[in-house]
Amino acid sequence: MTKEGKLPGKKNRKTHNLGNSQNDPSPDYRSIPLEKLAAGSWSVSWKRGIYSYKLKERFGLNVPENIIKIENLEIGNVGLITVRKAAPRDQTNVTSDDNEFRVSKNDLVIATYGPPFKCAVVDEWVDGCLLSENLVALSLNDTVPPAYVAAYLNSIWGQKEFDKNLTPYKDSRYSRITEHNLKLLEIPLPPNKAAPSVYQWFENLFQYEVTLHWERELHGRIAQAIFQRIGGGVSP
Amino acid sequence: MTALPAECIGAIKKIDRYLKSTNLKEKERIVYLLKVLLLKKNSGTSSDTERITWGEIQKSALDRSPHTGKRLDLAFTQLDSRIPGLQPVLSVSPVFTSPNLNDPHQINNKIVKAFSSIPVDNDLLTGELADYCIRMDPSLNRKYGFDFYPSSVSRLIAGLIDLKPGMRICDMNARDGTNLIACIKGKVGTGENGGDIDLYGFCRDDHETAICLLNLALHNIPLARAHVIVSKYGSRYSLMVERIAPCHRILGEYSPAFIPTSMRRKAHESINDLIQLLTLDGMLASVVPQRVLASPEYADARVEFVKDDKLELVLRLPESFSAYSGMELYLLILRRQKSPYSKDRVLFVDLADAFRYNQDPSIRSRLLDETIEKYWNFANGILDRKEPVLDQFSCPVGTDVIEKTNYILAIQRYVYPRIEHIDIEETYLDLQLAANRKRELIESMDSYLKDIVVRMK
Repeated sequence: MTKEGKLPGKKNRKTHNLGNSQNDPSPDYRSIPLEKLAAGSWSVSWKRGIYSYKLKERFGLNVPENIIKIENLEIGNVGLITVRKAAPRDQTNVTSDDNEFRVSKNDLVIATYGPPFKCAVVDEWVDGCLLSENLVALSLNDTVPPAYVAAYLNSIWGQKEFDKNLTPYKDSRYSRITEHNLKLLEIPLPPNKAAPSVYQWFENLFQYEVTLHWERELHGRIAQAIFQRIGGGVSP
Repeated sequence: MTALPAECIGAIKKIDRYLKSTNLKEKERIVYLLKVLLLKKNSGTSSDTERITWGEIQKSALDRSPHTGKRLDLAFTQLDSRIPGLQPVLSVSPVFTSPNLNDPHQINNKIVKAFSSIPVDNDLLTGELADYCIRMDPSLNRKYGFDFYPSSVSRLIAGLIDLKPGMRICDMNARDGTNLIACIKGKVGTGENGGDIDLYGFCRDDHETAICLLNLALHNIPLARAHVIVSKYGSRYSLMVERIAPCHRILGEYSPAFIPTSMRRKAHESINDLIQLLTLDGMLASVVPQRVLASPEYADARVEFVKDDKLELVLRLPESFSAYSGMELYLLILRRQKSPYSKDRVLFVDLADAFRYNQDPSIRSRLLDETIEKYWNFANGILDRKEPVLDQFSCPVGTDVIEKTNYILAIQRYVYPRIEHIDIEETYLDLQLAANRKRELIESMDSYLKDIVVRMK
């Protein structure tokens, strides 16, 4: 309630923005396009997903099962990828031109089909998995940690940034963002004096979420182990 | 994944590019390619002076003669006298002269020149070339969804057939003849060319019939014993019947049951009709989508299969076997009369899960052989009846158990996913580690957060 006893109107309400609103830019506000964050040139650090109909052509009978699909991207603060490798990466099945579809640790994975345009960071559990269609991956340089970028793009400010650049489908609520428009996404940066702490905090947040996910899996394993002891066998 | 030399693939792609510049349609292009391949294979050196050899055609092409197409036509007509059974192919357009009719670029000559770099003296290589040409055509592979499954499924079905001389094999959806070829080629001891086994096949149209016959001829299978005709209705399901009665009778007398649009309701009727036409030890293989095993609209079919004790095997195919269709496929094996050992039991095999847990390609190829062996062990009663589970991915289930589950044949009801032995103590230690890590991270995050609050005031 205000002093006059009225609820704050739209004009009086405090807006919590990062300063990227065109109406009220913060004096410290600075941003950088996603293209500038790529490690090396864009074409080198850019990886695209493989179309399902091309899987058979490339792999024959040995289509890998560990494929990151759009539904494996978890919506959270910092995106996690829920697919987990069932077996270690099979080196015999990797061909030279195969790596263009495989993600590496700390890559940023972005869904190009939405909304929501989900974003996630590759942890050590997903390293080497294949990307499916509608997903792209980007290796970032050391300027900004991938966890910070993913957290921003998953936030409502980030989704709004996607909205500005997407290509809408006719008669559909879904849209797609092109490679060219993805380069133009603006990532706001924290003030210089606070930047190291902010980046560290986001990196720790990502590690914390990975640990939480691991802990959840371990609880599930303990539950199964208890039933194995009760049932007296490995399988039902 | 083809073992063809790169220059062969390059030559075929070059020819395909030439043909795309003509007014030929997709299937016509494949027919044309296969025809020339067969011609080159079968008209090497000839002692008959009247017969046109490949050398003469090649010479004509090098001379840029406008009559190369006519020579090709004539050579192919002469080929018919040497390979009986090619008559349906001759009736299918295009004749070789057709690309030349409005042909300022001399396409026939260019094609013959490109073909000269392809070796056809190796029979195995010629077969692979034919397969490559057919797979190159998108209309044959992707257009019709799940019934155009990869050739690995054909090899699997072929492995499940115990081929004997005098047998009749029928493919109700012969398409390019892959199933029939796999049945003959996959078997040792029946003769390289299939011995005296009769092949029957039904195709959708004249072009598919031509492709099927040419493919069989290029794989060295005698066409005299192959009867490939156009089915009026086609077949949504791929059915293969072993030791079936003469096939023209099936279409003549039972055609209403084969109408693909009414397959949703009539699937069980048509399959049951086919089962009645089998010999007593005949076998029917059918590749179906998952809905046939669980959806209510196929409930009648399932009840009949299980109650009459016709169903012998339900096999879930791996994802890589159905990469074109994007849906789960199942292979059903039905018999008119099951062996006494497999009576009142159905074998469920989850090959998809077995593949998922074994990513090594060498293990995967071995798994296919093991599955076939497992099936034969089950059908011949080599396995002990008292042992309910063969391994983690397969399980024989009694028909009484299926009856209790309301005739649902979904494999997840009977075969459970693999669970490793889990050590509680070890997992508990991991949990402790996770808790410590969490604590460290929270403390670290707290210190950074305090710093952020101070600096961003």
